[in-house]
Amino acid sequence: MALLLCLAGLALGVSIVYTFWLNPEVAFFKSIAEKKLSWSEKMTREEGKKLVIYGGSSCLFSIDAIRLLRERHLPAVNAGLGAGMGARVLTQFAFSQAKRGDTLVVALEPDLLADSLEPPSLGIQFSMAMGHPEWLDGLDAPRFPRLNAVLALHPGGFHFFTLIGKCFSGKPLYRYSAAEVDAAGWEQTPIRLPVRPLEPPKIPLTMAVKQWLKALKDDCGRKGILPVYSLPWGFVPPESLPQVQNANIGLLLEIMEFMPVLKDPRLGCYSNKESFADTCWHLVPVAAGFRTGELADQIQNQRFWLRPELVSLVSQEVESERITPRRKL
Amino acid sequence: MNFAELPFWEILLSALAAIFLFRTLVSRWFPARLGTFDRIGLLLLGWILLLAVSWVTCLIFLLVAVGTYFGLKWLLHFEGRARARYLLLLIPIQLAPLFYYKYADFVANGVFQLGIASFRHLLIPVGISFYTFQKVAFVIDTLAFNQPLPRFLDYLNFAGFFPQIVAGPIERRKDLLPQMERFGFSWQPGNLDEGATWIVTGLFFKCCLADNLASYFSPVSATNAYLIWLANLLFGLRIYYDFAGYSLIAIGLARCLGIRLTLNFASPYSSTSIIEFWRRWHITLSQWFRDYLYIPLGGGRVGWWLFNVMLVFIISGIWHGAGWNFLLWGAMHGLFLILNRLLGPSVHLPRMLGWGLTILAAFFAWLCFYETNTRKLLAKLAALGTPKAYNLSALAEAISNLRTPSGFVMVCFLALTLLTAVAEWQSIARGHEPYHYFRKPWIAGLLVIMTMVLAAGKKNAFIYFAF
Repeated sequence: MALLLCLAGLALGVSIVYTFWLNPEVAFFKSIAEKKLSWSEKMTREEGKKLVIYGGSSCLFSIDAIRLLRERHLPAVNAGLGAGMGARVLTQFAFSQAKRGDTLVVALEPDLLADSLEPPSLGIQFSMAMGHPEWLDGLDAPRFPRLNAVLALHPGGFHFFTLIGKCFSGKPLYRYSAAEVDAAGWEQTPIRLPVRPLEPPKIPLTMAVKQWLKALKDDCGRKGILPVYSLPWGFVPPESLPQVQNANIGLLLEIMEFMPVLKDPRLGCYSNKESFADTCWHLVPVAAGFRTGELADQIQNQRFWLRPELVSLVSQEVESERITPRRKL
Repeated sequence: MNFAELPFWEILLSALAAIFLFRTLVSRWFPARLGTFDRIGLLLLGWILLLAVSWVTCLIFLLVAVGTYFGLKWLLHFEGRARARYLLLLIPIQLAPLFYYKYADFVANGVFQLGIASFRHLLIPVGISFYTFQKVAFVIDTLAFNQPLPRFLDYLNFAGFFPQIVAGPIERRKDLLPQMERFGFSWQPGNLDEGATWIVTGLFFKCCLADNLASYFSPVSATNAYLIWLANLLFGLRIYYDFAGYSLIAIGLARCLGIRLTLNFASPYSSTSIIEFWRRWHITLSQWFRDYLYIPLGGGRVGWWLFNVMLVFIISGIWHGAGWNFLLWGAMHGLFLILNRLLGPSVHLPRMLGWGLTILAAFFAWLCFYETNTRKLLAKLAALGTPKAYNLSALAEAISNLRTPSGFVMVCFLALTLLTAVAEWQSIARGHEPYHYFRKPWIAGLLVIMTMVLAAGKKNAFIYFAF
């Protein structure tokens, strides 16, 4: 029994070393997170108030913060990382960069609000590798048990076998590289893969997610930060637009109870397949420029959805004219 | 009481530490009372762990346990026919909480369409199906074999032994009660080493195999026969590694405390017939149904044995859950077993073919277990039975799903399950119990490393907790 316990300890120790220093996915996120933190400090120092825009990889690939500063004079940081980290860690990472007077643009993928808020393995590994276990703690929940966090520092079957497959096939160990991410946190990738359409989000939100959104709103209020929600753009083929948009409207009506929602007439749906790089959330640079521009318009003109507007949309079939992109890319 | 989660082990080890601290004091001051202290300690340990699940779970367990004991005590005042008559009253009383929590909604609202809102969304107390059956067996065994009523403390330990209370094995009076009467906390190195290897095997089954397989199980397609078969395969493997894993951990925990529990699984997927499958799958439940339902109905030596088999399997299906799909699952296995019994003596299949047919039947039937939506279930059954559903485009779609990183990882895990199946089969072929090789020290060490490295990031509750 003692030998088995020693082996377990040894395996855990090796796993921790691997996760902290060798895991290519964690290393990528650590590296880009440091870039984002440093840009964020620079914006606070040089510009004062700023936008902290965050979410999963949809945000990472779609918001060009340097363009926001240069063309729109909006100091901003793209604090997006990966959806695999979970809403709690993504939010805490972004929140750590937000200062009094900043605007926190919550651009979390709807799926992150449908799932459990318990941090997934990647979120735990990232937080621990960054030396910030407190990012695992919920805004409204008790402290995440640190022993659980330590035990989650193993690679896991998916990671292990994927890595083995990549080694044998000679592919790079991680699809993306930190060099693809600019100083302000926006990533562009040369990879192009077939893109599957987005599924409608699960609604209604669970009570736990609602409590968490309320805690986020309250925390922002206490710290003098303005939270706003912006639905990220995902690929939805024209025939699925009404279904996904209606579901997104339902989601926005729920989020609206906790924070203003930026008025994106597309309702998070983008039908041009060529505008997506390798997943239904990763915009190509041209489309990212377009998304960045529209987001800037909404923020600068203070365009927010009003509840009656959304209610009127959900009650009727969404007209294709309203949701068709104004400009073809 | 989830053995795969840290809080269980934290509570268990803390409570054990406290018990041992007090035990040292008791052994010094009241050495003659040490046996009683140990049995009280075990009882409290079980209750603390049950309370950690929820107080309702603990309360309902106590209700059934105490009700059974005093019901039996009252019953023992009678003799002959009166005793039998009152037994027929006591058993339904024992089963009442199980029926209320598990079947009231299905019967009242599903079958009779009464629309009773209060029955909807009733939470099933953890382990109720298992401990209720154990207590029914206890009453029958006590009366049938003219056994004395045990001391209340020993009975409570028998009824609520924490490793097996929530998901079995369903133990018999003759196997577990004498061990409870002799129980004492002692750290025997032999017991600890043996228990640890069972626990390691169980955790490997659960955390490494079942939880990882669960993330690739996708029961979405209702038309592509290949994808339905793939879902059946993944579910069948997952439920085995999940439930067998739980049972092995239970055996290991009990062994560490010096208690021997019954092996609940014996490599069912190495069976070469459905009859053998049911001797290897959830053994204690199968034995319960055999001894307390099938044999009292007349068993297999009466003219109406087909009816007996079918009834037992339908009830077994319903035991797993209140739904038409579970009923169909039970009926399907009943039919397979009848065919096996009717054709078995005349048709001698090569062992390999027998194994193939058994696996095909078992994995086909798993569809009825996981698909709770009756409309979808019927559509999927129709697809599996339609030759057109096995067309090339469906095959291409299924293969395209495999040619992704996720597909590759899934194939790796399927290969790992194949390796474990070979190890089980080899153990049986060489006359050992099926998990013999996993418990060899160096293999157990390998399993520890694999579990620590490969365990799924997302934890899933044990499937049988829902039953």
